[in-house]
Amino acid sequence: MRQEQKPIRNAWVALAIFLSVAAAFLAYRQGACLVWNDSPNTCWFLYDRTGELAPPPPRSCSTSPLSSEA
Amino acid sequence: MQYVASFFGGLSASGYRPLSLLIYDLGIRSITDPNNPPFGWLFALSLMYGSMASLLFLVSRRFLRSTAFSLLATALYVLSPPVASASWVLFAGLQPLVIMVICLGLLLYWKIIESPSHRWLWLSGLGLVMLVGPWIREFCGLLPVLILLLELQRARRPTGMMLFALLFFLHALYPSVVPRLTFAPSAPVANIFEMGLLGTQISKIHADPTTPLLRLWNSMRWYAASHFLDLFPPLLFSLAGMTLAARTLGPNRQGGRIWSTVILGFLAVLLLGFVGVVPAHFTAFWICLGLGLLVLRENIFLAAWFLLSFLPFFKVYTEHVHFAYALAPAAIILAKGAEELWTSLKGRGPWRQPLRWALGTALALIVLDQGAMALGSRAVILGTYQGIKAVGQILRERTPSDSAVICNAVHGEDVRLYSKNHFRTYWTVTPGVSLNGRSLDDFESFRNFYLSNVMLRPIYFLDMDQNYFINKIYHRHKYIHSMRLPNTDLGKLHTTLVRYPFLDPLRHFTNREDMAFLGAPDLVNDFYTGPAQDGSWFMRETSVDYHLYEVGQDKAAFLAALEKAEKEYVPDHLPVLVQEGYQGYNFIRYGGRYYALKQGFSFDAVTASRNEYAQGVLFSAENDEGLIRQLQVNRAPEPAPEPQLLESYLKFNIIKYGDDLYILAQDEGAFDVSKFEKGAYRRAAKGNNAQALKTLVDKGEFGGETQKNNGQAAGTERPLQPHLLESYKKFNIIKYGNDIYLLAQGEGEFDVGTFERGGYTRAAKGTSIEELKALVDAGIISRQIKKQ
Repeated sequence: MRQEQKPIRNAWVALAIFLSVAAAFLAYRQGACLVWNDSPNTCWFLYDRTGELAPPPPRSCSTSPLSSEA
Repeated sequence: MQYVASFFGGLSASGYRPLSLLIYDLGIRSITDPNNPPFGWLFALSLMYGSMASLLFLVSRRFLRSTAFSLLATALYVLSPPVASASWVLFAGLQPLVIMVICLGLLLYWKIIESPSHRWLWLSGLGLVMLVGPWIREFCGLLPVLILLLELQRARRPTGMMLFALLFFLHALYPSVVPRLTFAPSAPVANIFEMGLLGTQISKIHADPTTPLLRLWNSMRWYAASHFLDLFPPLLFSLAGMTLAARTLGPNRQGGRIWSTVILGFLAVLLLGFVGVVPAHFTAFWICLGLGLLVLRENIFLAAWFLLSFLPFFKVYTEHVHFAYALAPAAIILAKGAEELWTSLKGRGPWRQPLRWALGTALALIVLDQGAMALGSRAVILGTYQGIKAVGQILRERTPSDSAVICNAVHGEDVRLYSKNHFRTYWTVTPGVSLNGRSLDDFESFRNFYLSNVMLRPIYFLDMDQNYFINKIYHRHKYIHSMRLPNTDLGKLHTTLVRYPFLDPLRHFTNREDMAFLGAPDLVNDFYTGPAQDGSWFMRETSVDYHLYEVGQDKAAFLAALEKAEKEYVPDHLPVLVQEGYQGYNFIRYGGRYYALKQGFSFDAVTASRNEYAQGVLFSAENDEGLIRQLQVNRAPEPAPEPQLLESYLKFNIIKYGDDLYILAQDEGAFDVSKFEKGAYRRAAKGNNAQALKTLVDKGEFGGETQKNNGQAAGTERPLQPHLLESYKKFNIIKYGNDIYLLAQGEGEFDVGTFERGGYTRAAKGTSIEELKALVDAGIISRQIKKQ
């Protein structure tokens, strides 16, 4: 199973991947607001009715059959 | 510590996932501005994604010969739709965390087995990973199973490592036991199948009243395989197929006769799928199984890793992110197939060089296409959330605070968020909504909601409409599209339209319903996803229209309309027979459209939506009138009917042709409908029934030479000709124009001039045949009386 390995070289490439993917991720995620995805189930009411930011809600959330909670 | 321990003491609806809940809580506490996710949170996510990619690369190096193809495997996975689109979610990173746990555990295992130094350190690390993993997601329990497999493959006898892995497998089955015995005494004790979503899914199997195997088979969502195939460029799967074929049919044949037979059998079934002999979903599933076959002989572990990550999700599949775990080994397998193909083209030969160029080009196209999907995901996320923000702002401006807005899409809650909590959200659907009392899916809950809210606040329908795929029509706003309830149309608020390119030409053959939604995964039913609706090549589209209606406030009128709607309502997602047997077709209403289906065929919504019925079998239109027009215009021409002689009447033949009747003088020759239509017959007519046609004869309509069409005179006036109606006791009764004459047969040919001049001795003129016969019977003609 094991292919011929060059551990040092692999480690350098892995480090390069780590840094480049992390940097690419930050660049890729620029410009987005909060993406809630499962919003009806997250229960996070960020604002009160006047439009002011409200404190975080209690942690009693539930999920649904559609949830992506795989 | 108490803060952390509090997450281990309870159970959420999704199951026992204390570390996931901890991450959620940290995430929500870090938010100060919904328009800008906290940088610290994003930075942590970036490190997680970087780690996942590098760990996957290191694992792939165990299976692939070259760094380049390991990079290919890593790129294919990181850029795939489940990883790219799920990375946008606020609490992103949980699926990559599972892949991180599995890859890290595998690398630690290999380190323990192969490196003599620091073995206890690596073993502790592996134990920690297997301890923590099941507290993030149940699926991390796969890691001890994989280690058991590797150990079995390596030692082929029981070992201490196997016992180690087995213990942690038990921990993965009962993840709450360790916390309960140590720092969280309130933790519930149950296995993972008895807690949360996983338990719900299993109980669904038990509720099915058939045999166990059939129960399992029926509960599997086989269509998921077709969705899986869209997560990598189709060209990549084609290369995998070529690798298999080359392995069996090429000059460097590998394996024995059994392997060759298995692979040839696999390819033969695949061929049957491509020519349409086996169902498309089965073919897709077969292709996925082929990934296992690709590495089964050389690396059974990789095949097992893929299949163990892939097959369980056929039970719970709803969206592509569920395949995030299976995609990691699949990416390695596909890269391995491509690498094998590349290696087989090494060396000199007339065809090898151009084939390598072609393969290199294909691989470049594959990477670019997968990259285009990741960029498409960015465009879709930004576009859809811009729309959500815009609609939230418009609702804030155009509706009073604390209004009730009834939506039909899950992201109604996101709109509420970006309206700054301006309204209360309700839904016309149930899946995806578990806030108590917010789903108004049935008439009773909707009526109760209306009665308790109409006097307190304005109520609105927010119709989030798109070109729903036919088996997703349930998600359309039924209170707008499926029933007439009193409301005021406030107009369209916004249209979200995002188009993004793809590069792999084989993606043109992907069915719309199998195309991956690149936005936030749970919003999969909210937006149109498919080929660009303007017909652009190499483009896909995500779109939705937002339309606002104010619900009528006249309580009595609204409730009356609601009661009427309830009586008449048939859910759009169920086919309804509207009319039976119209010209051999049944009219069916389904999903708000009307279909005319040829009798003898059964209705299948997906086949209908794909236009896969044979020509002339199915027509569709907006309403039944449209169907009738469609049938008239498009229906396949039926074979021309044969003229059928019904009876003869006074030297005329009455002929049935198709649904029509014709009368034609016998001396006009054989009946030809085209001659009739051209007016080529002098004495012929078309009518509804035989008696009416006979009456035309009786009335002498054909006495001259005028052809009648549909009882109306047609053709130009021609000179009148005498026409023998019948003979009676040595007399001929002759029609001439509108008159009937009687002439003794011994008088020779009838000539009206001779008659008018009194040139006949035994002749008479009458108004009817009966009258003239009566003259004969009375012997009046013998006395040469000429009756004028």
